[in-house]
Amino acid sequence: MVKHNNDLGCLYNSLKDLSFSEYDEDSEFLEWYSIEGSNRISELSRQLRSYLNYKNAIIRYRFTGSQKANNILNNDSILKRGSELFSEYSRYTVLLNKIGADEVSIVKQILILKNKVQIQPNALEINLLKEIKRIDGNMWENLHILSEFELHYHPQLLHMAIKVACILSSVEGVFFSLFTDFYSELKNSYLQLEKELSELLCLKEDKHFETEKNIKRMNILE
Amino acid sequence: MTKREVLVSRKNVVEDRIAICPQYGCTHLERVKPLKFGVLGFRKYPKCSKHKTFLIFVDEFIGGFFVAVKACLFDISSLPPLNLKYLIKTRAPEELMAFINGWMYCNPIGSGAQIVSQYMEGLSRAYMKLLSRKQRKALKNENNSRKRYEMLRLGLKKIVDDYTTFLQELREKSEILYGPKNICPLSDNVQKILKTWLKQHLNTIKGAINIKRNEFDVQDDSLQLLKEEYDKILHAGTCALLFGKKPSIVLKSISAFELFSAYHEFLNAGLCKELKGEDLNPILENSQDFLNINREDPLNIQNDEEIINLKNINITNFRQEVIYLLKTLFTFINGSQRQKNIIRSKSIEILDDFISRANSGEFYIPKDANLKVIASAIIYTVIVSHKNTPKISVIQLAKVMNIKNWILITNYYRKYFDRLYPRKEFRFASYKGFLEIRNIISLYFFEILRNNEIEISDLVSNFLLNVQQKIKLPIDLTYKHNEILYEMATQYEDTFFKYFNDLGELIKHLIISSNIHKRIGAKLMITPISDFLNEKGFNLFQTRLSYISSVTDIFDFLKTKYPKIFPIRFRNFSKNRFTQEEYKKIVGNKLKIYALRNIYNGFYLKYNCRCPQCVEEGFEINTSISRLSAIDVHHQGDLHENYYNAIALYNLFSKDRSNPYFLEDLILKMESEKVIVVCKNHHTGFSFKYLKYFQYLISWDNIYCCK
Repeated sequence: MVKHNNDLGCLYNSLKDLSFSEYDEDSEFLEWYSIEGSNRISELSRQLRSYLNYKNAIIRYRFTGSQKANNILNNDSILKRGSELFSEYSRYTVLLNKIGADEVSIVKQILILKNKVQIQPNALEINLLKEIKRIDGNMWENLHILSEFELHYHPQLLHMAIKVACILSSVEGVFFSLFTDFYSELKNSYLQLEKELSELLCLKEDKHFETEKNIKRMNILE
Repeated sequence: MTKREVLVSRKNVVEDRIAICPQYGCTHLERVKPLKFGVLGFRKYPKCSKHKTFLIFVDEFIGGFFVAVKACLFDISSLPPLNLKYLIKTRAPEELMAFINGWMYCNPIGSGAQIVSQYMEGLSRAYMKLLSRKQRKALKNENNSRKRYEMLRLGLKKIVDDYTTFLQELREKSEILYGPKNICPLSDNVQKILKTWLKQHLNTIKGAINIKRNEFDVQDDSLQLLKEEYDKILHAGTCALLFGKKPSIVLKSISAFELFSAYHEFLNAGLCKELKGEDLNPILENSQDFLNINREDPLNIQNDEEIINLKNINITNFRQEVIYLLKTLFTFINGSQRQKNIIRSKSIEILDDFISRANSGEFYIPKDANLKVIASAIIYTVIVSHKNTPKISVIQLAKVMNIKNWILITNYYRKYFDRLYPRKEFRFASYKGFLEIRNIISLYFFEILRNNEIEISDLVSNFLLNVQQKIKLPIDLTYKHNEILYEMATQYEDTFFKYFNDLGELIKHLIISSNIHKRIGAKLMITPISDFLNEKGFNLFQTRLSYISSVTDIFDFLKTKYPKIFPIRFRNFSKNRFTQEEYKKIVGNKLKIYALRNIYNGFYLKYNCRCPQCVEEGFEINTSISRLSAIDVHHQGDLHENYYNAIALYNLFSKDRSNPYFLEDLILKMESEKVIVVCKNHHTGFSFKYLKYFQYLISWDNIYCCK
């Protein structure tokens, strides 16, 4: 990842990796690209794996009877990663507010910002864009790690993770034009998961409520 | 779906491209350069140095890989397996649709979709690292006019497109193959069916894995068999997900390249067929039809093609034939309507399970299998493994079905049903050598109880624990004995406890009675003591006569080991020997003599147990102990609880058999009642009220002299 630098020249260089422009003369950039490019392709399989992991978690949540999360493996790690994801997402929302974007207009606003920086670069906006990209990367990292845990014991966290993945998928397509279609498809797939999980959560909540109600009734009878 | 990749030829390559060995899992990748002037150069058709196969271009290979993945995840074989579907159909017909929906919903993940990414990641990384710097540079430039990197850029784009298409198809297929709104959690009953099925299915897979892979030739039929093996593994993964478990068998036991290369082969051999929404319609429609028909009677015999074509059953219409015989048997079963219903439903359940086990390869039913024995064994299984079923002996079943030897039925039960449907009660007779165990444990208990006052329940609890832990057991028990006891203690704990508690009580009572009989010098009769214990519920799960016989055997066994401790046993009370009444008199009189000798510290011994009144009055009437019935016990005090003649004394003893201090208590009691020993003559005088009250009015002369 490129370090923060207030120097405009460096910032300009940093910006280039966001846009996949031509950098024939810049050997340093090529070196970075050889690593980052490889990572980007690998990221596709990682994204695919995480998506399938989340799908797996929803299936297991659907068919698992009890939802006690106290004794599960890596419970602390799950909670730690979950809270990290949550705090990163809060910061992300603050940044999005700064550029006047909400969940719906996020892609549009980032595209505007990116074009603006390319035409007339200024330190503040470049830093903003870089920060968005950095948090974006951190959040993906947390999402990938979380997907490897038994998240079906934490349905609310699972729901949040999938919602965040939906948003990040749409943003990712803006930064890497080569992968736009992939991320757009990934977003659709996550939306499908999110819808399914929302319905499932409502269903289970209703069931839980019914059970509690029955227990209360029994207590009264006793 | 079948597609062949173009082999790499340097003649046709116009720019550098990356090629790979088509062998899945092989990491051989190389950059292929065009020939100079289209003709000059070595290795015109590059090969893998390891597998000696011609290379193919990576982008095309990845495309092919995704085709193989789709062939694996969305093959027609990913439909629920017939035997499982059949089980659900018969046992929980109302949940069949939910099950099929759930199955299709779990299928891609259960079939190991997650492991796709592992292989793809390695491949992509290798591809990117092999590109030259210039190529990488060119790749990022979409507006590059130089055409020489066009193929590489397109290759990379193709990889991304393949990923995208895969994701898209995964999503679209899910919308076609199941209705997310129709998915509902499966009931406990269905989950139980799934768990049982999976357990058996995993055993089958385990058995198949042991067969070496190289036994399969490259012939098409062997490839078909191999595909069936892989399908089974994927089914196991999907089934595990259906009750919330990880599809570990797929994720851990197969690598991505093994799985997908296999399906790539199957695809090329034309063994795969893409699963479409239309393929599900007939199943769901049939389910609905079945549901409508089957709600009425589980015994409906139907011409279901799936049943006729079941594997490992070499009998046409096997199910129908067996059901027909079952129906015949049902008519001979007496019992309440409820009991009959239980037998009907359970026997069909067992039959279906039997069929599914055969179908999954657990065993083979030959053409000449005796269906009458199978039907009888099923009924026998229901009777012995369920509560609240009418008692029908295996001999009766054999008679009804005209089976010459009833052992065939029990043997069949032992071979195919015993493990899954164990008897609700421990069957002692079926364990050879159990009598030996009983005798050894009797001796073991005797040796503990003869010198210790210990509660029988504590003794048996300790023994149960020892058996379960296989420690501190009598050394006379063999390995086989220990195994039988262990099985009894683990699977039939209640039976174990009751049986050995009864045995403990029996040994305790034998010790007490033997001790008393020895002291009074009487022989011991088994029947009264057996009846006494039987009345208290200590019967070793036996009828009265069998119990008497068992007690006799145990007594004789212990007597051979400790002849001095046990008294002589009265033999069978036939005409020539003692009757039970005689025994009562003998024991009663023996008790009386014991009392006469011991009461008031042997006071009556100085009169040689004669009537002291007679001795004082100088009578010479013989009332010595040889004329025992002429001696009475008279109560001097007001306390008059018991009579102490022979029968009364026997009855007292008989009621108080559990008391090891009966004799001591008897003496104390007699002394507390201030009894004296007198002859019948004097005793009558004591008891004759009119003489006592009016002796001054009635003169002897008037009584004895006649006018």
